[in-house]
Amino acid sequence: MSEKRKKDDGRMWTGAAEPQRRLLATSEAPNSDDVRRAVAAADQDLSELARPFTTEPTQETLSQSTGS
Amino acid sequence: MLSAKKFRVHVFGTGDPLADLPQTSQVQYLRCYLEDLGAEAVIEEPHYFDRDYLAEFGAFYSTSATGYLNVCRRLHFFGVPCSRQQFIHALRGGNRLLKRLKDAYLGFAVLRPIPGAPLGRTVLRWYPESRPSNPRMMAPSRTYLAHVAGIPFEVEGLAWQQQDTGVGACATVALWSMLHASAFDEHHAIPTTASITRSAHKTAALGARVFPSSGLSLFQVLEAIKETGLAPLIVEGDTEAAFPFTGSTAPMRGFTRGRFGASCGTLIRSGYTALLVGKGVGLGAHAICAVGFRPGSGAPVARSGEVALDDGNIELVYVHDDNIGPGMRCRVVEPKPGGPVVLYPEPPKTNSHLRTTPNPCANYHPFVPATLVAAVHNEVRLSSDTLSRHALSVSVLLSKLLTLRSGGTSPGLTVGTRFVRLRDYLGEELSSPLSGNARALGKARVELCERVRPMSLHLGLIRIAVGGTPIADVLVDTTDSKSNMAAFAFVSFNQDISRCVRSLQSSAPAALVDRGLGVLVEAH
Repeated sequence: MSEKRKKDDGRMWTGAAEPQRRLLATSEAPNSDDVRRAVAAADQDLSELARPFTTEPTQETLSQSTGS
Repeated sequence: MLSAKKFRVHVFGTGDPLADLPQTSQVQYLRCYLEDLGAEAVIEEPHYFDRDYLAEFGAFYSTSATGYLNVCRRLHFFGVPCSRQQFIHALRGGNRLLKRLKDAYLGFAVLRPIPGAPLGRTVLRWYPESRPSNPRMMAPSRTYLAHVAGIPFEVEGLAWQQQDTGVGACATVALWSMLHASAFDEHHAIPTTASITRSAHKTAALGARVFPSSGLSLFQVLEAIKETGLAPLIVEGDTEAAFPFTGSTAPMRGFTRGRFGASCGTLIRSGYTALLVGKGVGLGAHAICAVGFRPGSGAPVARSGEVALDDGNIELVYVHDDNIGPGMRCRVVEPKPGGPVVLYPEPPKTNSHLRTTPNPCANYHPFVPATLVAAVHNEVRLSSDTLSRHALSVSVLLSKLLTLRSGGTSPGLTVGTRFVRLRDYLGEELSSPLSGNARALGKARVELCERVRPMSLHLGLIRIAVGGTPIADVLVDTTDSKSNMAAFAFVSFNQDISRCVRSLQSSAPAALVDRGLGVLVEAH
């Protein structure tokens, strides 16, 4: 499957990394205050973003017909 | 006793064996599909004992007063002209004509001696890729070998068949296609439709007779998956709305676009197919099998501090529908913001000027998927939902950290998930982002084996990217419960991401770091 996958996947699954690409403004690592603020900000966004992925099937779903 | 018969070679068209069948939507669809592939010749094997039909015969047709035969015919389709004389010449082997036929092989269809449902196991080559820059994702397809007089012909696709309602209904046939998926190449024999229906009734019959099969409940679908030694994974629609065009004001359950795309993407990229259970508008309850998709054009781009799901905007999904045929193309449409999504059949325009019959999927029922079911390896206990939630939590945190340290100038992140075997990850998967960086690749492989605790056979793989450029992989254990879920390793492909993760390791809550990120492997 590997060759097919390489051909089909496209984009980020087959692209090459750019290790030197700058994503931070400086070479200085984030400090503990940055981390604390990032964790708090992430928590706020996550509940909304992840909500669709929390739906569980009900008994009603499981007993539904799949057609004939 | 059956008497010997000759191979017959036909010109594809009005005089071929498809033309002799009742012109149902399935036969018309196959005709259109083969026209689009450029079919020119049909070689007919007059006697073919088909494993699936023999099981159906044993379970049902052998005891019918009609006196059905137990032997089928098999049609092989070629994209070049061929006469009987040329075919006989090709069978000598090793000649140019044989190579030409092999290269032009488009697939096969078994014709059962059942007048109401003649199309048995059918495998056709996919359409040629028309958009190489944004290709279809068809990882569940596999290579089938069809031997004609001992000569092997290869076709890559995924088996489809028409439901016969004696041994299998739509869910049975969709499940049967599902279990052909490439993810199961190594360990699982593919059950016949007869054994799938029996398995579905083994523990969840609820008084219904087994044969003729009038359809399965979702419970029975899940039980049938378990009986094959696999594990069912179920994803429930997350929204509902009324669709006035259905003629009903009752709300219909379904999926938001992002969740539908992300769930299909995770499974199909892993080589699994997805059974979609829902309602055909004007048709009622129905089950179809999603075998591939085409992502939205261009890599999703998120704003600084935000995260986009890589497959959250898939454009087309390809489904096997027993009412139509293999690989029916459907456009994913969200009629109203917030869903649910509707799949609208949309035949491709390729070669349509040559059409001799209208493509039935042009007027086929739109479908609203409400529940998605997959059969996954028993060892995979992690659900696609749990993996997606974890992917979002890690990537949102990284995105926020990047934004804070770049003054809002850093790009947003894209995240995608899939399941992958450990050996495949260490092999081909890891070599893609590190192509051209052999030193980092070797270092990452060694560190993943020597610094990380023993990893599971199947991994939950989270890939984080900036646009189409990968920046990190998170490898998640698939063998534990939801509450104990933990990452094995965080493989960083970028020096700034490594800095961020080191900061998280020293300052973020220990639980988040240990279970959420795992061991940092710097692969750059």
